[in-house]
Formats: sequence, C-alpha cells, structure tokens
Amino acid sequence: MLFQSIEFLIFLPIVFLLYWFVFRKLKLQNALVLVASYVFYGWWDWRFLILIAITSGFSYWSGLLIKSNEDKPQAQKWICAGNIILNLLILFAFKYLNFFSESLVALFALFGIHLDWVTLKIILPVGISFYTFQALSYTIDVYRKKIEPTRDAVAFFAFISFFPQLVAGPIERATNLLPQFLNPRKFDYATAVDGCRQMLWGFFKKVVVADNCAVYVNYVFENYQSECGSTLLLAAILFTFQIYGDFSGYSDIAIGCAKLFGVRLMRNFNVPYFSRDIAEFWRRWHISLTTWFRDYIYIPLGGSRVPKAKVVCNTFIIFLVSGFWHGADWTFVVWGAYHALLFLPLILLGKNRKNTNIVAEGRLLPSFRELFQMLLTFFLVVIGWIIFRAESIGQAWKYVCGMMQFGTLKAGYRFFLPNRLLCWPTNLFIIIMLVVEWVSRNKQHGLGMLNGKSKIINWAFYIIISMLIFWYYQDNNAFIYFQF
Amino acid sequence: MKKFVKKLIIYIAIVFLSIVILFFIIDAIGWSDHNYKRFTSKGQQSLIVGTSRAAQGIQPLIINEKLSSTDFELPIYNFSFNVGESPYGELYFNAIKRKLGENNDKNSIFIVSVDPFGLAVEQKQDEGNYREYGRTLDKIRHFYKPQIYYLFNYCRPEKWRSSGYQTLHDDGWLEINVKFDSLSLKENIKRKMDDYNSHVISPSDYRIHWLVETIKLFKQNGTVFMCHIPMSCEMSEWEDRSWPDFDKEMYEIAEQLNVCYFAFKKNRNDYRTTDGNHLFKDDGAFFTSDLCDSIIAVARNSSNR
Repeated sequence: MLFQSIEFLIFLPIVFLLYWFVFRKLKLQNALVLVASYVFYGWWDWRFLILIAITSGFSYWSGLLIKSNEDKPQAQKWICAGNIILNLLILFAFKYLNFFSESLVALFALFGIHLDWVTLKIILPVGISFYTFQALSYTIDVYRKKIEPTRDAVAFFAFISFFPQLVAGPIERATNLLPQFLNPRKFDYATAVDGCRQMLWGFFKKVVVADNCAVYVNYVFENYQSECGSTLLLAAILFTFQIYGDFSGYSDIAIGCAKLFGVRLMRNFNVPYFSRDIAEFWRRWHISLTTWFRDYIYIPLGGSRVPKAKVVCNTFIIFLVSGFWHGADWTFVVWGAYHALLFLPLILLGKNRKNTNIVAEGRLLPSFRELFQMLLTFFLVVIGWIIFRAESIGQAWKYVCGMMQFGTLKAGYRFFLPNRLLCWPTNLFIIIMLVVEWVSRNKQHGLGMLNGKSKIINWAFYIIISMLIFWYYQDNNAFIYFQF
Repeated sequence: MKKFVKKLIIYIAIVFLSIVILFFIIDAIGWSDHNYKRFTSKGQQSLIVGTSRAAQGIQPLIINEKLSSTDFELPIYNFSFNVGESPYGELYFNAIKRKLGENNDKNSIFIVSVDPFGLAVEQKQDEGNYREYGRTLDKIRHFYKPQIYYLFNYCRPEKWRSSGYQTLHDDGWLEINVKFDSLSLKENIKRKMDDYNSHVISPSDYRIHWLVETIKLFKQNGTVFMCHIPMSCEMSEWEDRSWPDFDKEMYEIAEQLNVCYFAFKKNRNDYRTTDGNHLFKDDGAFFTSDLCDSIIAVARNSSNR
C-alpha cells in the first residue's frame, strides 16, 4: 500500500480510530498494529509476508536463546552469528542472487567460457533491506547486552513490521522502538498535530516536488545522448531534489504517521543539502542507515582509531557496503566508492567532524564562505547522484562527459522553454522547499517553523499545501527507495 | 483526543470545500483538459466518430460550410477521442447513444472513421480484456456541466502540459500545433512508428460487431459515411502488414449495411501528417473538403436515381 494511495487514506483513519477508541489496552493495540502492518504490506503482495514472519520469528527466537545461554558466551556468539547469516542469506537470495549469477556469467564470458546459467527471475520484496537490518540490530543489541530480549512475541513482531516505517525506514533500533511497544502509549494532542504537519510536509516533498522533477529527469536520462550539457546538468540537479523529496518525504510521512500512534521514530534526514562538507552530508542523509553502518560495521572494524591504512580500508568497506545495500548493481557500488573517495581526505586530515553544528546557527543567512562550501558539497553530491541514477557505469560516464560540454547553454534554455508551464512551478516548488527547510533547519521537520505562529498563518499553510498535494497527486508514483 | 478528531474533520472539510470551489472556477474559466468539453457539450444531431485520427483530421467547421446547401442536419459535432478511449465497442456505442439523446431527426449525417487499430485488439491480450475499460468513457456515464467527478479525477496539471499545442474547439475538432520542420517531422514519425511497431494487433470480432451496431444506430437517424483517413506511407505499410485486407473487409461491411465507404488511404501522398498517423491541420482541412466533395457526389448520385 502506498502512502499516497486512496487505500491508505481509508486505512489510516480506520486503524487510528480503532487504536485509540476500541483497542485501548497495550496488548490489543500491539495486536492491532501487527495486523494492520501485515495488511499494509500484504496489500502489495501477501506472499512476502512469510519472509517478514520468518525474519521476525528467527530474530525473536535468537534473542531468547541468547538470553537462555547467558553463561555460555561461545554459544551466544554462534546464535547471534547464525541469525545474522540466516537473515543475510534471505536478503542475498531475494536481492543479490541474480546480480551475482549474471556477473559470474559475464566474467566467464570474458575468458571465452560460456556458462549455461539460468537466471532466476526473483521478485524483490519491497523494503526487505529495511526490515532485515532492523531485525539484525535487535539480535546484535541483545548479544551486546544493550537491550533485554523480549518475551512478548506480539510486541516484537509489531516492532519489526510497524507499518509506517516497514518498507522504507527509518531503520529503527530495538533500543529505541521496542520499549515503545512494551510500555503503554498515551495520546498527546501536540504530538499528533505535529505528526499531521510532518506528514503534510512529507506529502508535499513527494507529490509536489519529487514527482514533478521526475517528469524531466526520466525524459532526460532516457534521451541523454541527444541532450546538451546544460540540460544534462539541470536534469542532474533536478534528480538531486527528486531523490531528496522522495526519500525524505517518505521519512517525514512515516515519522508523522507514527506520532499519531504515540510512537517516536528516529530522524532520518536533517537538511543534508545545507551541508558544508561530505562528512556533514553523511551525518544528515539517511541517518538511520548511516548510523547503523557506523554502529554495527565501522566501529567493530576499529573505526578511525586504527592505523591510517586500516582507516582507508574501513572507510571503503563502509561506503561500498552502503552502496551495495542500495541495490544489486555496479552503479551503486561505484557511487559508494565515489563517496568514499570524497570522504577519505576529510577523515585522514581529521576534519570529518569539523561541521557538526547546523549551518549559520542563530543567523538568517549563511556567510559567503559557508555558501561556497554548501554549493561545492552540493555539486559533488549531484555528480554522485548521476552515477546512482544511471542504468550503467557507461551511461553515467557518458552523462557526466556530456554535462561538461558547457558551450551549449542556449540549447538547454531552448529545451526548457517549450515546457515552461511545467518547469516554472517545479522550480518554484523546489525553491519553496529549500526556503521552508532553511527556515526550519533547526526544527524536526519543514513545518516545524509553524510552531508558535498565529492560527491563521498555520491554517493558510495547511490549506495551500493540501491543495497543491491534491493538484499534483498521481496514483501510480511509487517511492524510489521501495526498491532497496 | 476529541479535540484532535474535531480539528481533523474541520481541516478535511475546508480542504474539500476549497477543492470544489477551485473546480467551479476551473470550469467557469475553461481551464480543464480538452476531453472535458466532450463530456460537457450538449446532445448532438450529427456526429463524427472514430479515434484521434478523426478527432484531428476531420474539421466540422468545413463540413458545416460545404454541406450547408444539402439537406443534412447540421452542425456536425466531432465526438472522436483516441485509440485508447474510443475504439469501437460497447462503451463507445453507449456514449454515442447518450450523445445523440432524443434525436428523432432523419436527416442527420454521421461520419464513421475506421482504422485497423480502432477495430483490433492486441494479440497478447485475450478478447474480453479491452483497453477502454477503466478510462473516462467507462467512468463518466452522463454528460452535463460541471462534471465534478471528471475534474476531480482527471483534471491535473500534467494534462495542461500538452495544452500549449492542443486546442479542442467547441465543435469537437482537436487542433494540434506542432513544429513542422523536416527534422521534427522525421523524429515524430520515427517515434510513432516505433510505438506502433511494438504492437501486434489482431482483428477483433467484438469491435467489428460494435462498429456494425454503431452504424445501425446511426442509420435510424440519417445517412452514414464510413471513411479511412489517409496517413503516411510508413503507417500505411504498417496497416497493410497488420491487417492486409482491411479496406476489403470494410467495403464488405459497408455494402452489407448499405452505406458508403471512402478509403482515402490510397490518396496518402496528397496529405501531410504530423507524425505519420495524424493529419497536419491544414491538410486536415483539405482532406475534410475532399471528404465533403465525395459525400456531395454520393448524395447527388442517390438523389438522381
């Protein structure tokens, strides 16, 4: 079920009303969340509910086994490792098997050996990477004794499958989310209103900004060979906003939706395009995944407190894994490597934590230096998104080469001119998004800026944004990150 | 909690009301997409039916002028949509029936445009799985103004994107203004042919049945002329490959039903198209004029007999 579907528009109020008015006891509420989450996911393809149930079941069971073997550290280690392997095997089978088999066939073909390999056409279950990582974090945290394993199976299954964040995150930690399913939740008016606002802003970013950008981006990326440099550059910039609007929009809707049920999810985006260097960008982009990799891979590998050669190695591992997490394609791996290359100088020079505060804190506008840093970082990120968006490495390379031919600005202008009806609102919406997020950059979300404002201003915002969402709504535009 | 639910209901009510007001404004200004007019225009006596070829290629204004001296009930209205919406079938038949309303005239004129795609199904689909279902003619069962349901579901900015070069006239003619240099033309034809070549079609008994029913319905109220609108050589070759005896079969149907069939396809080199499939608007005017000449000639012949 998509957030921006009519089905969800009916589903959400029903679940909300049942949750607070009918199923008022904790256990009943958890059961309702579980059933609602399975309906939400099963609406897409009920067969893959089995996978979620297997992942949840094994993680739940592993947690209890680890606890019951408290005096046997070696056994605990094996149980934890077994659970990780099992979850990763499922992920591998459904997400990466085709990629590896095809790559192997291609590799052998280079040496003239033609394998008669039948590629299995496996459907990628939506959100498999997200809930698998959430389940892994529970087992690892139980093993590390950061959290007590729960015996409440319903609460645990609800924690893994909680519908607002099931298919595209934020990837929650058991330490944050599971206790919320084990303790009674209270309805809080201010939180619920803030949740609605956050959802509204998320829908704006997805429906109005991202989906409008997508029209151009798809056209240009499909016809990149016949387009001029400036058009390619403009399309790459539009994709940069598309993916942000799409993914951060989803996160805002998910976090806002969870607030309606008295659940607080972690923040996933914190104005990443206002970053002054790549390290800051990665602290602000897809925070739940970045911190997951940091806590469960980077730090166990030694992090940055190891010899420099090892730091280089660790950095590459983390970025390559991050790239590979996004999908079974070499473009994602190269995208990860590209960011590793940008990140390395900062970490080697010890400047990766230089910009930890929000830009222009306490000021309305950034300084020229900050503005330059932001623009440079933004440009580097744009290049990365071209690799990410391209169908192949070859296409990405040709696209970047084509983009560097700056002598054709006039032609680019001509491309956009006939489509001005679409183009000017798209540009305007991007500007509105940037301005609102700049003003709210120290708030939890874009419409956080409405806190304390007069009712008339607030309502005017709600109505205008709602109208725009309605106006630009298209039923069939799925979120980009569902495929990961 | 109650306060929250109350406010949420107020919010939903205000947004809904604002949307309805917006639609009334759009309706009044005429900012909706071009198909909207087809659902809101009044009932008609004489009609042109078919797919987008007819929508763009047959201009009622010219017919009304050229046939003004005949006994036909004019003006004529172009009620053709496109190959997705209005291939011959039960849905289009019912829409036509509603558009005719309580027509008791016996001197109406009906131009029935036929082409292979409009009378075929895609081979990969089974008969019974028709593409027009789920689209506007399926959803909109009554013609009145304002069509809030239509505006609510179909009036969206992406439809305006094309409004820069598309105008639906009050008589139903869809005017298309596209660049007509040789390069654009070549690209348009290539794109269209690539699209058509990706489809494998097969003649549909269902569609032919409803074509016959449509003609029978028209014959109750007046005279029917079937026509095959000209196209580019490339498109003509595609049609010959996809449905080799198309014109022959249409002649047979026309003969059975005692109506005239004009296969203008043979005159393909006389008219220019915008994409191989649709007539350029000036050539559409020439074609409509030629079609009128053929109709007048037939009408004279039959009156002389």
